Amino acid sequence: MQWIIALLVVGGALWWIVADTNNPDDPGRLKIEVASLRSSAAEALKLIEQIEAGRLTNHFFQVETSLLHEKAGSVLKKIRSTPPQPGLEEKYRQASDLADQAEAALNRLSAAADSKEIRQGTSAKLQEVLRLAAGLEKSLQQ
Amino acid sequence: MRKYLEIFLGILTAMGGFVEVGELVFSVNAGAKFGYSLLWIMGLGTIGIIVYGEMAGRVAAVTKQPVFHIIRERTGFVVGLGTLIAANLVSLLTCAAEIGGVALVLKLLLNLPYRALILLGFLLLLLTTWCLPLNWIERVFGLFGLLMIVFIASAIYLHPDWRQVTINFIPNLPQLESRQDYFVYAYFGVALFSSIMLPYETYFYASGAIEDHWEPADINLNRVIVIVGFTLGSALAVGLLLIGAQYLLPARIEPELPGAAVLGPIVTFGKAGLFVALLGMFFAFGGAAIENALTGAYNLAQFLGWPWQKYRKPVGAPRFTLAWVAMFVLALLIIITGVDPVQVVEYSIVFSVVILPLTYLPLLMTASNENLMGPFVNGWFAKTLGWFYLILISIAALCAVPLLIITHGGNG
Repeated sequence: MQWIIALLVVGGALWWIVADTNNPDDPGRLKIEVASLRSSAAEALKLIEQIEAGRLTNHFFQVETSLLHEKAGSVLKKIRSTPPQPGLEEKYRQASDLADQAEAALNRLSAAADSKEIRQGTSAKLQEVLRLAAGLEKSLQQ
Repeated sequence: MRKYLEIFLGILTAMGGFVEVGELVFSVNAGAKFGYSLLWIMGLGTIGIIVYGEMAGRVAAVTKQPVFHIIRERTGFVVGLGTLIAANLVSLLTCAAEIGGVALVLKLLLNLPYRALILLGFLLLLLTTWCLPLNWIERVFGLFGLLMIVFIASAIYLHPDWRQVTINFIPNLPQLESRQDYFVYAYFGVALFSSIMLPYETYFYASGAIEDHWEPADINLNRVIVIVGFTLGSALAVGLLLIGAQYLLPARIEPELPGAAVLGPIVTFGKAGLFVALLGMFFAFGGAAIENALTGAYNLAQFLGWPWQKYRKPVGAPRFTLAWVAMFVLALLIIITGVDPVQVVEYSIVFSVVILPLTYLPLLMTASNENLMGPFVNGWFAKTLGWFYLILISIAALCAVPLLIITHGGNG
């Protein structure tokens, strides 16, 4: 019985830690979500660069960008499902917009991996996301 | 000649089996976040795993006792049982993450639905473990895992600043922007240290030594394999960190997917680099999944005194066989829920630090016991290093969970 209670307590504590580290309800955590968007946009830009140089298969490009799209989608869901802290409403709105743009751009990229025009058009959008995300991340750090 | 071949294969398998999905993600991320500055942790961890790996192999060769038998004998049933539960939980989570890693690599190669690839990966690993003897499992996965050398080649090709690389093997604390960044640095230090000193490596290594019928005469073989194999394995992890520092840091990429690590070989060797890296990752992650499933079964069987050797036919050790099959099935049930394998392995690595002292203290006590070890007892050098690392491990164990919470899982 004591073992079961101890296991339940340890299990509950672990669950709380995992859930708590994934919940974007303060500026520090919102910054983590924005950093994730920045990193995904940066990786997608590098993937575009490499496929344009013929160093990458279409297949890898399509799968990796679809995984990045899923990541951006989960960030968007997390930000939208978290009520913003008082005083941070504007930052949440900006982060939500950015996540929306990143998710849409990555979706377009993964769905049309073999279209050069779409890749180039999306590249500009992703550069914009990268720039804005880096700025928002910096402002959340201060 | 046969002996030299055995040494050569032992070194290659130790090297090829060194990097798994957690090591890959932590190493690349460490470079992408902090440049070269965490290299000294890799050096520190490598010496630590050599010290305790050598001790585990020596104790197994001399006493024929595997690690979990020693833990139960030295710490008693209750503490031993606690260590067993924690160790097997960590092995289970790691096994689940490695199966997820295998599925992610298969997805990058085949582009089939992720859950179907989890099932495919699970079946491949289960059948391989069922059909192949242990030394062939080690050789196939260890040797093909060596394809990961493409990461070292890629790191060299990216022209790191070798002076800075060398300097950063000396303990240092870089200038960071905020207090939170220092916490993240400390978190990565603890996680990297833990990922190199993962306890399953010593459980598996000692069990393998007993399976291979090592004798005291094999102690020098043990030393060569551990020192050379783990050092070269660590070079793979260093290569990953250098790719993170050289390529991903300037590009502002903090990899959350194993595929991001492949960017290094892609940039340097194009499509060939991509395929070699993905194949290397497949065998490295697959090997780690098998090692963790078998480790869980070894631990349980050794603790409860069941017949446990893998060289026996499944009917010769039915409870042991059932235990590793159960480890695979439970791992499948965890990963098929859709949890992120990278996140699972990150948590399992951090929580494994907590059980490291409970694993390594009984091992150190046994290796230092003259009655048991006779002339092969720890000398002053091994004893000093053993205690030094035990203190370090204990400090890391105390810091791991608070750092995990403070840094939101190392994210900032």
